[in-house]
Amino acid sequence: MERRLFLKGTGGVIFGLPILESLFWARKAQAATTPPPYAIFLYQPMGPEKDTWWPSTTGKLTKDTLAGRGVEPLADYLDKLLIIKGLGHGNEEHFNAGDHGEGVAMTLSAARVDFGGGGETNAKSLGPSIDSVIAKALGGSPLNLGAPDGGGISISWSAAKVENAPEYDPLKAYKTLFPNGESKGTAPLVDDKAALRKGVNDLVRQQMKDLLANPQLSKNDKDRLELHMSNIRDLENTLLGDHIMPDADRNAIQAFKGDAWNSSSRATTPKMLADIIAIAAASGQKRVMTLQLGSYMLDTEYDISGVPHGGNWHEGVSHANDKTKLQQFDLLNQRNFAYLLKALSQYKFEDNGKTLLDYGLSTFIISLGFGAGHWRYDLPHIIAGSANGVIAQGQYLDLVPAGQQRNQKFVPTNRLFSSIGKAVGAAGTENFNAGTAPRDATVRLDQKGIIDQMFV
Amino acid sequence: MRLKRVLLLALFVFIASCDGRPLYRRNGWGSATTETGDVKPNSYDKSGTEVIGPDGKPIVATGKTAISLVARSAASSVPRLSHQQWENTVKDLLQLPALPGQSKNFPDDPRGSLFGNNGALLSVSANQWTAYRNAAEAMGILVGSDAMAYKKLIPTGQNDIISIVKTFLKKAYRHPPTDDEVAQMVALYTSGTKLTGLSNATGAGFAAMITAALQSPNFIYRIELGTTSDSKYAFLNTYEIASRLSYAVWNTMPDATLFALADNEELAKADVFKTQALRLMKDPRGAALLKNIHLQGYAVNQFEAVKQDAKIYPETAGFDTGTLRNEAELFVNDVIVTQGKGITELFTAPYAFVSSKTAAAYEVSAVSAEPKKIDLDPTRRAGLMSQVAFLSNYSKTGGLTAIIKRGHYVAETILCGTFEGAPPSVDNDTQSTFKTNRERINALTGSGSCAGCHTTKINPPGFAMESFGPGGKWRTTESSGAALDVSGSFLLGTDTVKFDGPVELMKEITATSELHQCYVKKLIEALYGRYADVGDSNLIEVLGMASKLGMAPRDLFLYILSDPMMKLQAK
Repeated sequence: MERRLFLKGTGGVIFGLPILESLFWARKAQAATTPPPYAIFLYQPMGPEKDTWWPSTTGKLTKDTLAGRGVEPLADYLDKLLIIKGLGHGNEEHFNAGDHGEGVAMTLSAARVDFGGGGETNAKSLGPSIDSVIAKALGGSPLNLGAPDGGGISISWSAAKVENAPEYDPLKAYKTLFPNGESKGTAPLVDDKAALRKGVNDLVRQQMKDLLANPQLSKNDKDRLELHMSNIRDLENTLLGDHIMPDADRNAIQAFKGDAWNSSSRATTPKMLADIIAIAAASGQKRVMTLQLGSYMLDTEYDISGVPHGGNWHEGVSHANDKTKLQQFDLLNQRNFAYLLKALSQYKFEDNGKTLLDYGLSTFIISLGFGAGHWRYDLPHIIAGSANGVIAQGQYLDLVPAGQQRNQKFVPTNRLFSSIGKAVGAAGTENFNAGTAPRDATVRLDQKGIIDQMFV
Repeated sequence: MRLKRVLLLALFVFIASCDGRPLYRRNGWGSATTETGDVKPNSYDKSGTEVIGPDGKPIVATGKTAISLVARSAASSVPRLSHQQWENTVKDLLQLPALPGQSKNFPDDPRGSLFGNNGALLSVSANQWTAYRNAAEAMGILVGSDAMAYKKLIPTGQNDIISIVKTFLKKAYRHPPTDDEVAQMVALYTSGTKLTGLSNATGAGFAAMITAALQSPNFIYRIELGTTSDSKYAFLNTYEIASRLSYAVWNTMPDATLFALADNEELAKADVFKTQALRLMKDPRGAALLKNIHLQGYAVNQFEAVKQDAKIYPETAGFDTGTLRNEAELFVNDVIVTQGKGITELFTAPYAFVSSKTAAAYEVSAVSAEPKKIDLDPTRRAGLMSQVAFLSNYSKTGGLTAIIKRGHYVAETILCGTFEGAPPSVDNDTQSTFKTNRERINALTGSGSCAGCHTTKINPPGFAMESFGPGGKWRTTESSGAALDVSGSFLLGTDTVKFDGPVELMKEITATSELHQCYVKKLIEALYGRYADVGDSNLIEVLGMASKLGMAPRDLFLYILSDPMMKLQAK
């Protein structure tokens, strides 16, 4: 039987098309019978309420183990989750004295951070982040998005010190992916500008090549130009003809007129960005996506609906360990994560009951274990989806053996990213950014290899 | 090739100020120049820079700066156009009546750059590439389908395709194109009708050419790789010098005069270059640059009105971000552009632009809805930090003043201190037991690992600003009734800065070398589009001294633009 991808709109209309006809699943003419995996990463700044965030017991996840906890909003997706405790930053320079710039710069790179002689605001990862590496391996580039009240340092790095700035404006992000709107035809979108684009790209590539050959270029400049070169694409809109976002969601995005940098839109834009991530995966525009839910030095407080009021988070909530407000923020972010999982789940497969959620990995990360203590260990990580049966699900895993000192025996996040890279079949992610020796030489945390327990 | 040796002592460089008088003199950069006036690189690192300050006396560098600087060569030699530069350049290149407005669809750039023009931070991400392509296609069709528009781009008396292409590409690339580049573009131009769907061959040719040129790395990047180099520096050619100067001052591509001076290599001559720098500075765009650098450098363009309960703080009832920011911007423009005063006045001048919306906060009689320049009590108000835009921005909803943020502004934004992340907290923020905000902050940050930065550098200047409530109104007690203590001291280098109240604080810190060097560091970053680095140490030191003596910002700009590094690219 020919597998068909169904995309469901809010009106209940189900569109279907032969999977083998789509350029998405059959990208590069590979006769795929299942969708290729994708990877999504979400980032929450500044530490959870550490005593109430985690499920109540390790092992199998149940409604009871999630009840009343920071991860409770994910209860509908229990059997799709792998919650991992015991991960930490193995390359942190500042140890407990620094999160902020350093923590966010290494969130997805797990690499050493350089401060360029300045402070945290100048932090730059000395290695590429996992989203860039996976995207490159899969023949594309990541989609990097961020929610308002952001700014400062990105979680995404295309190379050492080369930052991928996230897009904050939902309308801009949508238009970049779909400059002519989403296609509602039955055939893959045909690019009527293909000949002009091909001609222009040939000319531009030659000039880029000439420029790259200049021996005066610094390594940093070369990296930036190579990033540019890798982003030149001849054939765009290689989309499923019938991909479609629920009308209400698209209408909301197209009506967005706010200042994307203004935290007043904080309640709504994370959901719009989640919708864009889901349609980017469903349409095949992107295979790797990131969503940065807040800046590295968050200083806005929110109510449980995400409405901002006041600005004293860093000092008054995070450092002061205001448990009530931390819990609220944890729940708010998990609701946004749950919204993304719902958005992915609405793209269904007819013959096996699976959804797009099953075919990829959506990883939620908090880059501190405890804000007031600046813990670089016990960083909360949740993986949703299994990359089509590769990654274990329905479990709460603690990687630090009982009785061990958690701040010394954690597993560096390098190994998590190597594992994710392996699960989605991205070459070049083995021993991810494990080249630099850990600063804590007496402990010698092993950054190499994967985390076996994560796999089925 | 002729080579002319210039003796060290004979190397006097004059820059004429508006009235034509010699502004400053410098020497010591090098022992030799080429015939074109390029300073030979080996001389660059020598100390001994001499500047004639505004008091007519020479200023000599000691080789020591008080502020930290990054290592040399952190700059890019292929900086990408910022979004504003893209807009300005496309308008000038295509001779459009207004900015094209396409960059509103571009992804936001990273914010690590104070002035948004640090080329090392600007890359072409996948989203940016798509946005560039879409914009290039839109501009190609816009011009190509409008005969009036593309005819303006045909050089007079040269309507053959090769001339059209060569002329256009030279402007688009900011240097003459190579023969290969012309040949490639001619091929695209002549296929225009087929590729674009436009029926007129010339219009279609322009559409295809514009679409391609605006995606070319020669357009997107300001290529400053030089044509010759030594082990430390590349020497920019005259087109690169023209481009660097034009983008530094006007934020756009060179005009016809600069192109002509690049063609005949006159621009490499120091006197010609300086005449051009002055011409650009005297243009309204130069004045706009002066103002904008100060607005961005001191975050004035980010000040926001923080909402307070108008029943408790009635002086805030009329506050909104637009009003407050506008009044602060008027003040900056008045000090820097209109008065031609420097950074000392910016932080000490006892006047403000006040409207009926802010009069109550300043406790002056109601004035019109239009802001007017009003003299304020000099025993209470001193410069930008005593104005409501700053004070409201650095307060919290609920009436608390943001002591740490106000102090951090002094320590980092004004004095260029760097702080490597906040230390872990002591969990003792029980506000209700404290009579004053100062006590609360002391309890929160005064011990443990926080204290290292907070008690010695960050908190004290914030304490001085406690004389102003969350709406910027002068006060001597807190809402609890407790008397304020606005005295304190903090360490700056090896010196201790002591003060009692905000006016004294501003007087003290504007007398420090750190403030003026930090200011010059910002100007260098703005004009060069890179972080100031150790190679700029002497320049920062001498111009810091000149600033302290009252040298006008525009004169500081001219000095920076005239620095030999303007024509060099560190490797």
